[in-house]
Amino acid sequence: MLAQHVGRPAVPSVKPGEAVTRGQRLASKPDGALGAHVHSSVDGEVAAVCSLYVDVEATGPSLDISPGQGAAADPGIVAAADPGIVAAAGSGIGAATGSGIGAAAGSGPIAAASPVAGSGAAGGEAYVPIGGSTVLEMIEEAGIVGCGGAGFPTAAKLARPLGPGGLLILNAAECEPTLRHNITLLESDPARAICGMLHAMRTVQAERGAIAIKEKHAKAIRSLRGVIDRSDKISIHFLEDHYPSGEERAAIRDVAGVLLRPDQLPFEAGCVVLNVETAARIADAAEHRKPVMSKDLTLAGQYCGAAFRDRNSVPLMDVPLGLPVSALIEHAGGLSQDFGELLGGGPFTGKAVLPATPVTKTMGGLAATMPFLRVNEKMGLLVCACGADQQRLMELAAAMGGEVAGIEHCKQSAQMPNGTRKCENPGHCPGQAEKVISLYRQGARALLISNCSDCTNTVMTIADRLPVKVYHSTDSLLRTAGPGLIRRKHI
Amino acid sequence: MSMSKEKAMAYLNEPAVLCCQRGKGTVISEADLEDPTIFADLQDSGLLSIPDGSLTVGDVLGMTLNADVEALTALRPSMLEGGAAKPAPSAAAGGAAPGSVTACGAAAPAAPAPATPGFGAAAGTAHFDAPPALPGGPVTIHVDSLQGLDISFPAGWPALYGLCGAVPGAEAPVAAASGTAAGGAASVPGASGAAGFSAASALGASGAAGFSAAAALGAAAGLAAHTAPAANPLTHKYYSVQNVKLGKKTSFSSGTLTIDSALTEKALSSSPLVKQVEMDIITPEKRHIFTNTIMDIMPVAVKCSGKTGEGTTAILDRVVFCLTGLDEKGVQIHEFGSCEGYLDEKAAFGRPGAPDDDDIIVRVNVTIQENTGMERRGPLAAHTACDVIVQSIRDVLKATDEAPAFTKTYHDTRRRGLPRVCLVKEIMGQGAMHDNILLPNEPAGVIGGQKNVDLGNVPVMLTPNEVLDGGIHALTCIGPATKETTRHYFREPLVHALAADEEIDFIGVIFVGSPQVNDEKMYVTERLGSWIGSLDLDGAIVTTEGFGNNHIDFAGHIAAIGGRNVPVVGVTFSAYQGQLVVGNEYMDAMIEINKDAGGFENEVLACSSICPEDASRAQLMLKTKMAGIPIAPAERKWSQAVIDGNQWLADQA
Repeated sequence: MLAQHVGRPAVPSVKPGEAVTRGQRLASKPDGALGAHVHSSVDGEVAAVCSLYVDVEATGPSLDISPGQGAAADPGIVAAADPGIVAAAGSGIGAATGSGIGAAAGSGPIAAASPVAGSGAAGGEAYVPIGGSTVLEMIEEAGIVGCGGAGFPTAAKLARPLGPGGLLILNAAECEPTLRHNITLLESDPARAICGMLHAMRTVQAERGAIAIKEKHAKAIRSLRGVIDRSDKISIHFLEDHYPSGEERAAIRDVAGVLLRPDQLPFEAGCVVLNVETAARIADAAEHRKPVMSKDLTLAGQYCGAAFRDRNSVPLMDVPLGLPVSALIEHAGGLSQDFGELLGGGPFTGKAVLPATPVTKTMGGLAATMPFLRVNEKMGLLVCACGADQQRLMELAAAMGGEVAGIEHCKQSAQMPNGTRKCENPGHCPGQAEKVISLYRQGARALLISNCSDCTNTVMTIADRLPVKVYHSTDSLLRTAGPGLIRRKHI
Repeated sequence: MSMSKEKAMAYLNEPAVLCCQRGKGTVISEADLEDPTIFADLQDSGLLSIPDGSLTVGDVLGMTLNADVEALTALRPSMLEGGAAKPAPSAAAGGAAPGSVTACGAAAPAAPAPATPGFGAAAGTAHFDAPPALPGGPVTIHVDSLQGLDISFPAGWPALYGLCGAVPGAEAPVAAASGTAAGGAASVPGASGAAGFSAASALGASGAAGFSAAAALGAAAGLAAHTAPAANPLTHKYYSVQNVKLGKKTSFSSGTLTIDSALTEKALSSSPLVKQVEMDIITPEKRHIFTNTIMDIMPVAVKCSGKTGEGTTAILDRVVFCLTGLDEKGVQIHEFGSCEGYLDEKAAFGRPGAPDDDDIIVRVNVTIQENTGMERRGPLAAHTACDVIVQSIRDVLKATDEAPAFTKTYHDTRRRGLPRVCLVKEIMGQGAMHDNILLPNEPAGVIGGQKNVDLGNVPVMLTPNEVLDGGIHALTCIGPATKETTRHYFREPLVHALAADEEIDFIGVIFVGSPQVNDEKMYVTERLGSWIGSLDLDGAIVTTEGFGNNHIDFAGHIAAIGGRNVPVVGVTFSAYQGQLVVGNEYMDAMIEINKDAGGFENEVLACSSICPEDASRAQLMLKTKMAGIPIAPAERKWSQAVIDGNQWLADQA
């Protein structure tokens, strides 16, 4: 995919039939524009080039999807390396790869993250090293974009030095309830993320660094402390435990005590916010001259594979970009039941994807949800900037069979000039009574909402008394694979 | 939802209710407190109860919760650290917050209350000294900011000017009437006098309101204003018609109107969309007759001299044209919201826009090409065909040497120096059958006029006499109970009322369309606002026809006027079915024109349109607002009792 990031799509620099090697640049950021380069995640041959994607058929050694550490320890995951799966992969349109999966599975999550450039020591690990003389150049050369989902080109984010007192925040919020890969990375390889964080801090001349993490992620915090105890510049800052929580301005609010308006950028508070994986990829670029060729993500749902025998979300580290999501499902042993939809991302902000949809630099998760609940009541949609947007709620309502009686937006949902919405104060409810009553008056006897956990609590409190049923846009996935539904907080 | 700082300051004396669950240790700010304007909604829905002893917003700001508290809980002292001393109840129930006049009168008892001066004013610019019992005895006002002017007048004055309950129907957030009295209004509660009318507002005056109170009072006291009749008055000559029949030649003599029945053939050829034209005469006793949907009621009028709005116009008395129609498939024109049925049941006879009880109706039924009933061209073709017939009668009438039965002359008098008032009439301009023809060649005609939709719905100013002389031809009778027919404009009660009002300078009538698209609505609204700003108005009345979509324009127009500090009154059908979908702070003085018992658009032609009674209430409401006298907030639901109460007051005035 040539548009995996904010800004202009990359411009293809290869031709059909051309042989490419892993790490080779396939498409370049337009000169002077906001954008990012795209690199091949496999050795192979260019099958097709168009303005949307470059399709590469893999010819080289098969690739590795490393499960997160916990999964790697589970012998059941080895089943994922079943040769039968190899045939299943590589069918998708837009896929930059047609490779199989598996041979190196079980080799552990660290191996893929610390290759030696050009060594070719392990199958599929060799790559074409990037150029660049400064870290900032290397970040741009590597095509790094915000891995948390926004996809803002990291080189552009770090291009402007912060003023005195500048603060770089490592965002380890693990914003969505089903996701685990960022925390997994910190648990297994904290030094990689901290290394990238330090490179970024030097690049933007940040005086301090803060790691924003929820206190409940104790193991990750322990492993981080093992690294940063040697630094007096980096501290750990606990975030409130609500979902979704990774919003950049929310992290700044909680760490620096400054609430930015939705139209303000972090540097106005003297801050830069980097996602954990983004920091790790900065380390890869700066230390190993490695371009972005893969993505960490969390696979959620109910699958037949042994890794899912007693759990329903497994982090997968370094999934090759361009792999169709169907390959991940096959990798997990296939679905154990009918599914409602395939969701790319987490339950709050994810969007429906097709089996052929390729893994991109911003795909944080893949989930197959249970079949949709049927709703017979007229539904009111309460749209929140923190979760599913109006379009997605309307799709969900249609999938649930509910007639839409009315649509309201959360009071704090501020419309940006580009039409998107941002929450004015994420995770802090502004009250919902007026909206709920309005929807009730419009005939809604059930609500479908996309609010954060704090706002949801308010909605539930009100709806209980009306009475109106409440469905949350995340229900379908969280019933399948979640730690629990987003519902009321009882005092 | 939570409040802004400014809002919290305005509601310091309202109950403090948490908008969301808040944890122990929370220091309460306005962001934690629910907006009091929706309390009534919440209470109606069973979502909120406010027990006695609950604290007010002012009590709790800055206090700390001593426990976790659920959303929509009214805060009590036991929930706060230190237990927040609750002020004496009397103080809480007493004066409104500084600068606010919302509280006064809204809950006033029906019986006259003792005149406890409830001065909520931040700066006391006016003082009222009223005796406890209002009937009899003088009321003296001393107004400092008018440099010590003392005025004495009879206590009946409140009945003339003072008492006016706002009419509900304003589902919109119109709870606060605080916008009216800029700069410190003093208020005296009570002064009701209208038994059973509980929404009586307190009497007050604003020394700093934009309206020149001195001018109004001066006029009432007989001080001279510079009045100037228009150079060319308008004379309507009415010719009495006792009998109407179809014949071979159109003629009018000795009270008998004969219409050439072959005119239907001529009408048929007016447009290829017109497939059939029928005409019959319906005398008053024969109204129990089936009719297709009524598209318009039109007078027969012709200019004898001068342009529209001046000179002489000849009008047939006791006869009106009634245009009905359907398409070739048998679908009523403006299906959904059509009013086919028995004529005697489908029109509110006697309304300005309907036939009168003793009118002879010439019914022209037009069949138009199939599927064009919902397009602009279809209904327009029907109106054009009908106008062909009317024009033939106009030609005869223009040449008649019969003597008129009576004449009426309208002077378009300007009263310079008095408060400048404008009437803004919103007309439908969404296309399809929603259009209006402005200033046709002949009164209430079609030919020569410009279509509102083609003009882009932008505001167009007409003199009052241009309106009364058939300057508007209406094509808008879908939802016939709430729409204004051509005859309605010809007899518009608000134009008559304002033109006759000797206390104001009625500068004219602005017609502004209601476009289909939101962007266009905003465009039009802004154009109206610019007009208003340039006209140096002291007051305006905005009317609309229909309900629903056009209420967006209605609210926009009121805001465009109110936002320029011009007191504004809205007039609309709202009631039950047409509850306002939008609202704003300037919609605090609304006149309800519903006449249906259940509050519905009942598909009876002209039923819920503006009548002289509505006009008188609007007039009084505007003067009340212009004088800076607080208007009680609308009740939450449409209530005929409030309307009746206001009508009683208007009738007294």
